[in-house]
Amino acid sequence: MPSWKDDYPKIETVKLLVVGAGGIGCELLKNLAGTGFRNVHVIDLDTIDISNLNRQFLFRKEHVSSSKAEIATKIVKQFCPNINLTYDHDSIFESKFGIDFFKSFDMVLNALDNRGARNHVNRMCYAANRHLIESGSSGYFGQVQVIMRGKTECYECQDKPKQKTFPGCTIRNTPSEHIHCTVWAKHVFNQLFGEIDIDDDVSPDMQAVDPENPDSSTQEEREEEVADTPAPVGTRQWAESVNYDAEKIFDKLFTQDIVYLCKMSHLWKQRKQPIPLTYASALTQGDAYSFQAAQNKSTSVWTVATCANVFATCIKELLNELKNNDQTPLSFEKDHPVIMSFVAACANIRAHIFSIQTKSLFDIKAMAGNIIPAIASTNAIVAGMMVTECVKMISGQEADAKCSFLRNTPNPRGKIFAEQEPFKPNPKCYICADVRSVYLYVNPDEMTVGGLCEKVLKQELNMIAPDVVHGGTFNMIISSDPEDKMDEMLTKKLSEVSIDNGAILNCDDYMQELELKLFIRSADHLKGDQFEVAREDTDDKKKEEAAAEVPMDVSQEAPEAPAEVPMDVSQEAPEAPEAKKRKVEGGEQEEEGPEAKRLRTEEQHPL
Amino acid sequence: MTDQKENLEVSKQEQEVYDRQIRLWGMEAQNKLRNAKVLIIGGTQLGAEVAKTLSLAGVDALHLVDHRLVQESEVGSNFLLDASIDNTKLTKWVAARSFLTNLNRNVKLHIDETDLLSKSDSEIEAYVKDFTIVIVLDESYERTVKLNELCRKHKVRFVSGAIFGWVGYTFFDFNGHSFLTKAEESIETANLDEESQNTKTNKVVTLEEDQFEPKEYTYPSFVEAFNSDFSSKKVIKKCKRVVPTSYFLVKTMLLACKENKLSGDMVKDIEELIPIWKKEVVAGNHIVENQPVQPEKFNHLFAPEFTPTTACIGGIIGQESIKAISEGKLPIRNIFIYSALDSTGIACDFPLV
Repeated sequence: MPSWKDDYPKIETVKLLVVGAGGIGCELLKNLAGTGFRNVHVIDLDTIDISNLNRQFLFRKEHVSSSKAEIATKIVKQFCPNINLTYDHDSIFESKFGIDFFKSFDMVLNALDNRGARNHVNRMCYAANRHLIESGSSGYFGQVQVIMRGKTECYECQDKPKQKTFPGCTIRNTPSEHIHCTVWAKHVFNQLFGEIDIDDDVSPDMQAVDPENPDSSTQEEREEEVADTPAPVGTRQWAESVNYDAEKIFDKLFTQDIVYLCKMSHLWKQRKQPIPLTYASALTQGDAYSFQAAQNKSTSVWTVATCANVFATCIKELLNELKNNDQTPLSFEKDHPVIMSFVAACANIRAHIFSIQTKSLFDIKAMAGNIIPAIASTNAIVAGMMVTECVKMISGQEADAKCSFLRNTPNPRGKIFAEQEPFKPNPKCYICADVRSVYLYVNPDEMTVGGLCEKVLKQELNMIAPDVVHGGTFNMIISSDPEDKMDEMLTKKLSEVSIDNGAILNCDDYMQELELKLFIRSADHLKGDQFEVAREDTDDKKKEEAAAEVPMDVSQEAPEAPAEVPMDVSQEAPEAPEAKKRKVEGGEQEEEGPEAKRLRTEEQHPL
Repeated sequence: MTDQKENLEVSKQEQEVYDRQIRLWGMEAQNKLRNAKVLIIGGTQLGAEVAKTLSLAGVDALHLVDHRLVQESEVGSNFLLDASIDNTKLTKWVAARSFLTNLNRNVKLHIDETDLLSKSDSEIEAYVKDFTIVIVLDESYERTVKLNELCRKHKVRFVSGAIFGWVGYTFFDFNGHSFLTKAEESIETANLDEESQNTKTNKVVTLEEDQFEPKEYTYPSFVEAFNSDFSSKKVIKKCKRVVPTSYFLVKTMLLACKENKLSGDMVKDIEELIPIWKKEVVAGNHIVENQPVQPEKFNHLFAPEFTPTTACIGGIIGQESIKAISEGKLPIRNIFIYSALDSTGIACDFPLV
């Protein structure tokens, strides 16, 4: 009997593409080299950060700021010179990584940290007809998904849980948790120093109806409450008018605006009213540490006086930075100590005013930066499981390939790695189904063509360069070719170009070789560029659901829903997907149950 | 004493490096790791994985023991070895020193090129008794058993593990050590009864940190764990559900090694393995014909080590060792087996009761 190596001759000859050289990527490259793979190409656009070093074992302190793909390639070759390992320090979205590029590999392995790139690679692999192995990790949890065109689900066959967002009036008027204050503080930062987004307004919202007690006031009452007060002025405008005087900004945000909020008495019928705070009085509350001294106390909770001090210092520093960069707007950066300290101080002062428990810089950074904890061992295991499946898939054992979930506690059958047959493709998937349709709910009198292009097609549906033609009029609505000079079109409302309820738009992305039909459904309650997308007409869906038998649903719930899982996940990965009920092919009960679909991680989304 | 403790606290600069893991296991656990002295015996590919995980985690010191020279076949698969030098004249950990030094300069490395386990019991005892944790990898059955007994005597946390081609196992003995346990729960030992766990899993609710309390656990020894009696009425029914089929492969390899049945000639060795395996499967109340891995795949139990298996077993050893050192939440059961042949990674509590 020959060695097992002889049973898998393809290990040495296949060409693999690895997307990502971070936490899972480093382990993956090591495992591929050790297993005997000889032709591997790795792509990563990122550079090495100091917080990577606890797990991305191919990198050292002296490599900080260097290209991940380059250093990983260099270090792997030091222990395995026989591997033909090449790299690109570039974004996977670059047009040079087109269909032909993907076709030049036998298989693709994803080691990514964001959904946009995962969606894109999923589409490229579908178009190029290449198997894909998808991966994710978060703390002690990990996941591997095998994706084979036509045989299994693709990465986008099921809806992924939405990013958690908070209603604007909770942020602006009635915060009840520290995260609301942190989100507000990031908005303050953007208003003062960043790119201004009207959705990020930080001043009191006088139109606001109390979301928890919508009937507690009438429109007239609300107008009455604030009748003799001038509406608050935009934050940036105000700051400029006072030359970014820290004390004046402080007093506007934390005294005047709060006094104004207090006047909206309907908000405070069932809530504790906020207490306005002046800069002068803040400085008397506890020891006032300097900005520098406060940096060394990142794990303890700063006093109000320290927060006020840090607030003032950061405003000066950030103003300088703005001046030194020709007024180029700054963007939030969790690893920028001044920006992060500003957000922390600002969030804590607001929390204090609203009688919400204040937190340490360390904890606020986790919320503001959506930091997901990550350790070496989980990544090593996930990358190990990926290579096991990869070896099977290249060796004619595709039917044996499994999806796997790494748990932190064994299930009742002792499984730490819960393996699972891949699901069949979703016939309603808008990526891998034969007929690809998406239902778009919008207010056609309010959404612009530009909003449709940027917010719906690019951000939500992850297209790179969409072309859109109206299915009824055959007019070109959006073009990916700048020579078509369609700029004027972008400012038009959808209804102005005959996109109304019932309209069908043919959308085509040349790079992803993706064509889909967008069915427009009018929803008058939506404002501006707000929208909702669905895989099916929600009216049809409701009918279907009403027809379905109720007990069916219950029986699909897995017997061992691990109650401790949501705890860990929700604490550590702020927007980890929710458990999800799934129908199982052939009626057999799915063993791994709800947590099974909990994927993607190491992901860091802005709030 | 207080002074010394303060010196060993995690510095601001270390905190930057360890940020992502401190957010998972907390500062207290990081400080415990920072003070841990770890002994790893066995500089194999599995040893490399374990040393990597514990070095990255930021333990105080790694004591690395192996007297054997690097084999040519290890170069290219053990990532600690620099392929540009002649490794075959170096012992395994000496050849790995440069990589490990660069991996985390906060960790003190001590390399010992003696054959520690060939020494007298009293010498081994004196050597191991002060370590926070002792990890022995890819060692023979007898030597693993001996070391386990000596560690138990001194209440030193013990881990063993080995890779057999595509299959690997790890064993934990944290006898007499404490882990955080949910305050209301009455989990008696690491040996959980299957039925009671079934009901408990449903009951577990989200608890705040302060609702956990440290609780001391008893663990069976290596010999007790690997010589579970499956014949009693109480456990016969349980066997199918609780004993993974991969267990019989591991047990077969351990027995063959214990009885010196392995010659190095794979074809002959497989012939030796088949009857042992069949006997073990039957003893475990499983059916030979239903085993997903049949003898025609037994070549997958032999060298070269399958790197993905090494990564999975090494990852679990690293993770559970960190839990044990940091006295955090309860580690998984006492035996874990990964089989790349059917993609299973299953933990069991042996012996069955």
